[in-house]
Amino acid sequence: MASITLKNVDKTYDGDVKAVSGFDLEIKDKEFVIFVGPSGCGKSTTLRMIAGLEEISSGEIYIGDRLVNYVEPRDRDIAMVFQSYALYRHMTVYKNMAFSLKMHKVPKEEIDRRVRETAEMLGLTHLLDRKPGALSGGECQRVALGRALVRSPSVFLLDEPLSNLDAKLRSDMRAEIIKLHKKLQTTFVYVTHDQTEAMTMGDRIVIMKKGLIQQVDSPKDIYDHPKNKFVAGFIGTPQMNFFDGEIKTEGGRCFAEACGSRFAISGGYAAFSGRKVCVGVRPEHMELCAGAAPENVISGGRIELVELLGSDINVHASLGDIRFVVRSQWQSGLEMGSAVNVRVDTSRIHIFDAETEENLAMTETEAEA
Amino acid sequence: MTRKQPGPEQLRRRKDRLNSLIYLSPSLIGVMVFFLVPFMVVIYYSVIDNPVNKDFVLIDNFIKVIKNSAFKQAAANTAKFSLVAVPGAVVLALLLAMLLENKIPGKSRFRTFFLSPMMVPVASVVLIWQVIFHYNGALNGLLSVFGVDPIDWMKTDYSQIMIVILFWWKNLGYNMILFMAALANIPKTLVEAASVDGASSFSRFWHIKIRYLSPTILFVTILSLINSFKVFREVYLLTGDYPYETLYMLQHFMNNKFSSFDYQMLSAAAIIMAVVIVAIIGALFYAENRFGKDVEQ
Repeated sequence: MASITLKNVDKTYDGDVKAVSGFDLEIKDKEFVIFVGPSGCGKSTTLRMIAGLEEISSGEIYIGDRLVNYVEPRDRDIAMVFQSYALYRHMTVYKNMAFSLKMHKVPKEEIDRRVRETAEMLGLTHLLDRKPGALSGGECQRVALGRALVRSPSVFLLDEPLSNLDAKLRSDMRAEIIKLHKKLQTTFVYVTHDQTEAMTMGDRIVIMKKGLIQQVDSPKDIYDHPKNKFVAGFIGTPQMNFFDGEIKTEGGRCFAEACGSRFAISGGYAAFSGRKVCVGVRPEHMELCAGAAPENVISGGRIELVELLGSDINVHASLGDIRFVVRSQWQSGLEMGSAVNVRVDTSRIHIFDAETEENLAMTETEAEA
Repeated sequence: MTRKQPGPEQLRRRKDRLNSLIYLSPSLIGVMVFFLVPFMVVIYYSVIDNPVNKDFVLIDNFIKVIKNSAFKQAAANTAKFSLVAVPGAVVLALLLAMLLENKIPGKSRFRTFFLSPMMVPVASVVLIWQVIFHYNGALNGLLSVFGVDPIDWMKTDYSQIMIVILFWWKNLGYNMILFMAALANIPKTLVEAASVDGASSFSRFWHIKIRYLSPTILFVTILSLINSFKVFREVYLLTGDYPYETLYMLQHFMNNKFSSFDYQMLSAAAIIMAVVIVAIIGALFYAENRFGKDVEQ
């Protein structure tokens, strides 16, 4: 078990292509940290730098107290699960799992005991004599996990391990990995582009964009207090709605004016009065309502599409050029093209600076701090 | 009685078959004329006493060939040469390919250097070799500077080493390119997984890479084996019909039999050689099939 510290880590390819810039992060011992972001954001590169599979251009990486910048992957006491599973096709499941122990010159009896124990834990015992070619995707995934687990490493690195599985299997494996982390009490670093995995699995999420960390926080805090418009838009399904607007103060009350309506906002936004902003509201924090109102209601929208999700529906609506989505419970009479009014829960509203795209509530908090 | 009309599916199949035959026919005719028919003729010649009498003698010609001291000498020399040159050509090419896989300065120049002998015609290669290894050649000139007496490289036991080096020089580049392509095709994540699993670079090679290289190793071995049987060209151009005894190869034997119109012996020797080569290639395929079947996609 070990902590991981990345200090001002940079990765530059071919002279000027910056994959990761100024990456600072402390991952605590036994923590489950998720790196999430769109393709090309540098999350896998960062994981590979921790593994030692990618050289770092500058900065320092520590595993525990040991600086590992120049330490070979095999000497870092890590185990890694790859997206493609990377199973040795010419070896049986047993040999795949035993390989790393054999490389570390563990005695044969000990190898046998550990392989069988791990196989038992992952339900792989009946597959031990099979080769990867004769396994299903889910079984291959388990073997890849088993191969990592069998060594009891200090750090587990998982690079999009579930992305090749179908939705059902992915959900099952997600639960298994969470349980595994609780059982093993080891540091896990998990890379994904799937926000559901990020939200459900990790103690903390690191959201990245273009090689830069956007926010590091618990899933709940990231959902409730996104640091900027990118984070707010990246986390949440359907995506957060954004409306261009402006902050106004009137009679001691503060409003965000957008899409022909005004939303009462509290919490020190008065200081930003007159500032052009982007108002962010999650679909689940809006509700369809009967009548129009001068405040906190978007009136005169037109329904474009109703998506049935089971008990809930996503209502896609438009107001002129503005498009937005409302998450609601199923109700009859929602026809395409019909008018709709939407009430906004202003206590859950997010205000982003139109220029910097930073969350003004957090800017204010940071300024106060 | 009415004849059953073929259905549309049957008609389509017939048309497909006819089309396949039309498209295949140029190659089929080529193979027939230049390979199968001559091979049948060779088999025929190997079981008759001579082209005039044409009496059937079964295996007499084969017995004569096997008992022939020149054939024995040629077969032993060819076997000895192939046993050294072929594994050497495979191993050295693989080592070079692995060396060039690393980030080393002047990589592309090295590659060109090793490939250039492929572009040089055999006659020119031989000429270069003669310039170097002739009794009055460059090597002896250099050695004389150090007071070493001149050596007739092609007429001593050194000659076989010379031919092996010539063979390597001529073939390493192509083999190396094949290995470079094969190395580039090994899934990168597997090698990375092995290095995370604790494998040293030798272990990564031995446990992972070599398995993925096995189809290429087989191909390069067969290619080198065939080329090793063809080294006669170079030896013949260097030393003529009757070279120093260690250089007397199977093709010398056959060439001399051809010159003396002994087609029966020539054909029998060719068939023996073909059987041996087919047996070796069969064994190689069997080994590769066992060793590399799981890694083939």
